[in-house]
Amino acid sequence: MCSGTNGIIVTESWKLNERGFLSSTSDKISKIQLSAKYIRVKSLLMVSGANSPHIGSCLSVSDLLAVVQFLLQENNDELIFSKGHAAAAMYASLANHHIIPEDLLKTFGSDNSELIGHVNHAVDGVNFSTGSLGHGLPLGIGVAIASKSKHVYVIVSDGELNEGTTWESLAIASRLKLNNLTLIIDANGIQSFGETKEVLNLDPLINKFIDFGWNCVDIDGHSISSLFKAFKEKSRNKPKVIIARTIKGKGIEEMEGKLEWHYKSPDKEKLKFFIEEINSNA
Amino acid sequence: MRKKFIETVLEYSQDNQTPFVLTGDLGYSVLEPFREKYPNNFFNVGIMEQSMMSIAAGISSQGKKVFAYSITNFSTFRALEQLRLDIAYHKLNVCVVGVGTGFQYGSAGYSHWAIEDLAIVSGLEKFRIFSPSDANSTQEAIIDFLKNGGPTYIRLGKHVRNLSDISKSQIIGSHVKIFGLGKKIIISHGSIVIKVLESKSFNPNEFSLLVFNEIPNILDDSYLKFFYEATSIKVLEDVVYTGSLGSRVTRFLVENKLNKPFEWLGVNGESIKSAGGSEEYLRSRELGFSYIEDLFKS
Repeated sequence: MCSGTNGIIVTESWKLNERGFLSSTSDKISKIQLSAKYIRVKSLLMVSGANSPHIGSCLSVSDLLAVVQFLLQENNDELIFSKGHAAAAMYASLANHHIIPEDLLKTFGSDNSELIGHVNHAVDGVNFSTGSLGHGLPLGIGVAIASKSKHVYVIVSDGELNEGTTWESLAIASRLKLNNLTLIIDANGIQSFGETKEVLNLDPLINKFIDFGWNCVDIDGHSISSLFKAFKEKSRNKPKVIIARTIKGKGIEEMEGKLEWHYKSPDKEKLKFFIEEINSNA
Repeated sequence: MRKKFIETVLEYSQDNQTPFVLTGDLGYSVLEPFREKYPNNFFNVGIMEQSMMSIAAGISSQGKKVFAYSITNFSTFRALEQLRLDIAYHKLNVCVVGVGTGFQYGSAGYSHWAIEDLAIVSGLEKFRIFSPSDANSTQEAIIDFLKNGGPTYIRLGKHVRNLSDISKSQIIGSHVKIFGLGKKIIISHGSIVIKVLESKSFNPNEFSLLVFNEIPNILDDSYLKFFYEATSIKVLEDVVYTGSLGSRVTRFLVENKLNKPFEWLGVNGESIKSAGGSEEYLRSRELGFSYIEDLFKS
């Protein structure tokens, strides 16, 4: 079952090798932290410029995206961004890695731009258009079945766990022993019309994943070092799920943990202060 | 037609380009030969048609061709959003296989009938739709998919005699054949076609039977000559009128200003009640008791 290790919960078959880790990866972690800041700042600019929603989701998922995109640079792996409504963050992460031009971000949400409000597979680096929840995980299973040499990362929201296809997919992925599949849950605790525990309480989440035959870890989704360790750990004969505990609107006090920022767009007059707040964060 | 489907997949699968076959826990006594020959390309994913279609799309995104197999209502209605977003929008090489057409699951009831599938999938215009009438046309459709790929839907009816065993035909378009030489045109598709061809009233000098294996989104001008010379046009199908082949023929006639005697026999969706009965009983009740013979009347 599960045990606690420095805030990280692991299954018995999955012990983290912490010694020697930081010394070899500290530079990478610093780089990823900068990437996460870049994603947050660009997301603010894009969402505000387009007067579009979902900035809260962009800010909660920024650290996860920064880590996964870094890993993708190292290997020929694949990311499926199932919580497509946080599109600005995804596009920003692609620009951060020069997969799309940074200037393109300025077109977000404008007429004829490919950078539409839910991730669009016409954009380089986006393999699947999403926006309807519950599609990313089964898509990822298909990729993992067909390309055993790849590792497939699927980022979903915790609200997305309401969808039945998520649970169907959990069952078949473990039956097929897809150890080249990692599911990352942006568990910010807030979905479209309320807190996840109020709308459809699935706690204790980690037990459900273990029961479905997955290796699982429950960690601080804003701790780059914890995330990095969790991603790097091999999972034998099982798919892996990372429950990343995040904060909706992370990095801007006015937005943190507030449902309204699923919908509101940042006020242009406050934008400068929001960006300063992001940059001043450790 | 189910057996011809899997026989064709096996026959035309090359070892280095073997397609994948997914099933939603159906295909007993049909899919076993493929499972035995290509176990690594066969997945019974369980009763999860929505996820199955997304999984199929994911596999296809890696350059593979995939068949996703279930009873028609499950593979279309149940998984419609996955067909729309994951397969059609991404233009992936997935062939959605629906087993059972019209009222073929008669006594199983409304849940299993396939009378709206053509309408539903027709709205996804990136899909090619095949409605084979016999084993030969099933084979042609599968070969086409294996060669050309693309989002594809094939509705498989029950096994019937090959139409070519009954009468000679000519090919007049992509996946369209014509039986007979007459000026009175009857248009149909799917496994109901054989009823027309087997009728003693079908005189090939008086009637021509146009059989569509592929249901195109729009009829092109290649049909203009046939329709222009026709003295009457009738359409027979065992699906609802909306989104049917008849709706495409109607559009063609209107857009080309062809004012011909026209009759259209389909299923009235508003009148549908689930009740026991054989396929033929249900079909005749919905289309009119003498629906086949009605086609040959002036």
